[in-house]
Amino acid sequence: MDRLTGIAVVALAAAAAPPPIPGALVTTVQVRRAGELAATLRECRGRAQRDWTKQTVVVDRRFGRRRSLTYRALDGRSLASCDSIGVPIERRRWCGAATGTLYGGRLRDPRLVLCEPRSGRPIGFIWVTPVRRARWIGVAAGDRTTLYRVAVGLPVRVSTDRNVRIRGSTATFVIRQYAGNGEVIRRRTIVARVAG
Amino acid sequence: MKIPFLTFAIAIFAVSAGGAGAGNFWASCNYATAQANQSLTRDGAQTYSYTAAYEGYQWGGGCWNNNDVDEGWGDPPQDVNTHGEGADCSGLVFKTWKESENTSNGGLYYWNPIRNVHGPYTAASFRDGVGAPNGLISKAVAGVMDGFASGTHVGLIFFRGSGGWDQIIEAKCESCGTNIMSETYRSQSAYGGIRRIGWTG
Repeated sequence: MDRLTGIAVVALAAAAAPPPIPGALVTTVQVRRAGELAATLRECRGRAQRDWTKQTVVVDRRFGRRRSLTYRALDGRSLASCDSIGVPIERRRWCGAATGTLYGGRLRDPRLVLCEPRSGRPIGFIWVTPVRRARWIGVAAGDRTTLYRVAVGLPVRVSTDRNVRIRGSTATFVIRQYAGNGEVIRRRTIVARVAG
Repeated sequence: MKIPFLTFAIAIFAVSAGGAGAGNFWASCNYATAQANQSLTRDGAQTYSYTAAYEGYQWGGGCWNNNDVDEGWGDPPQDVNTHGEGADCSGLVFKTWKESENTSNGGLYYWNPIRNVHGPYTAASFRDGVGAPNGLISKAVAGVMDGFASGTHVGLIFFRGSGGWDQIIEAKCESCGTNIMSETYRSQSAYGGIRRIGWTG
């Protein structure tokens, strides 16, 4: 574990406990340097121009077999992601790579990526921009909520297999943002469309 | 007396078709089922793609009426909720290449220009050859209705040029719309060559 990862893990551990939601699933998050993930980033970003250095901070999130990487690109104005559902699609381990443009530090579009496995439900990934004071992002699906810890001030890459529609290339996310004390500070339903 | 008149004139312009981001163009689009199709020729694709020229650009969009007027000009960029006229870059390629919304389906589907559909692919998806109908091609041999894609943009070759220049039909941006433009994508390292699998002529 290098110094940054150590600091990040300590900082995240010291952050607020997850909000007390019965049956909530808590995803894992690690803050890493791109240098540790160089081969992975080259693989998932494909033919893209390299937009990171070894020192670039990467947020590595895992939920079951799903995984996403998020980092701020070298131009400072865009975010990049790699998204995986844990099964190869068309022989690719990473089924999507999104790029989002920041306007005043915020995304106007959550940059939906759809991953369609041969069997099973399609899965959609989007970024959610945390509001001020938000420490956790919750994605509600039926009676289940999946929680993602906010990390290093970057938009949070979340995923769902509910309400993902191949016809229309859309996905609907029911989002709750929580403060450190567990208070819900924002409720929003995001209907994301593939774009750009 | 002049100031109230000027204010009135500005207000009228803002709510007319000439005003930025006026109206909800998507209300005039349809959502009919795509028609399965047997033909995908390069000259047919050229003709189809050109119906989108002068019709504007809409982030996440894919619907235009072929009257050579952009009825949604000047919306804020990268906002799907503006519901203006036109496709975005990947939506134009998806419709021109007669693709299916199901990425594992490499078949041919005709989408009427006024049918509002974007498809499941982004520029990066096309660049990486994601989906059954999409493939990669060396930029050196890319020809009419093949394309060039980067992580953030994609366009199709309308006429092959020389010296690294091509005439590209592309949905480029809110302010510059959709048209045939001279571009150097063939010589830019950020862009890769892309092709539709299954041309019939």
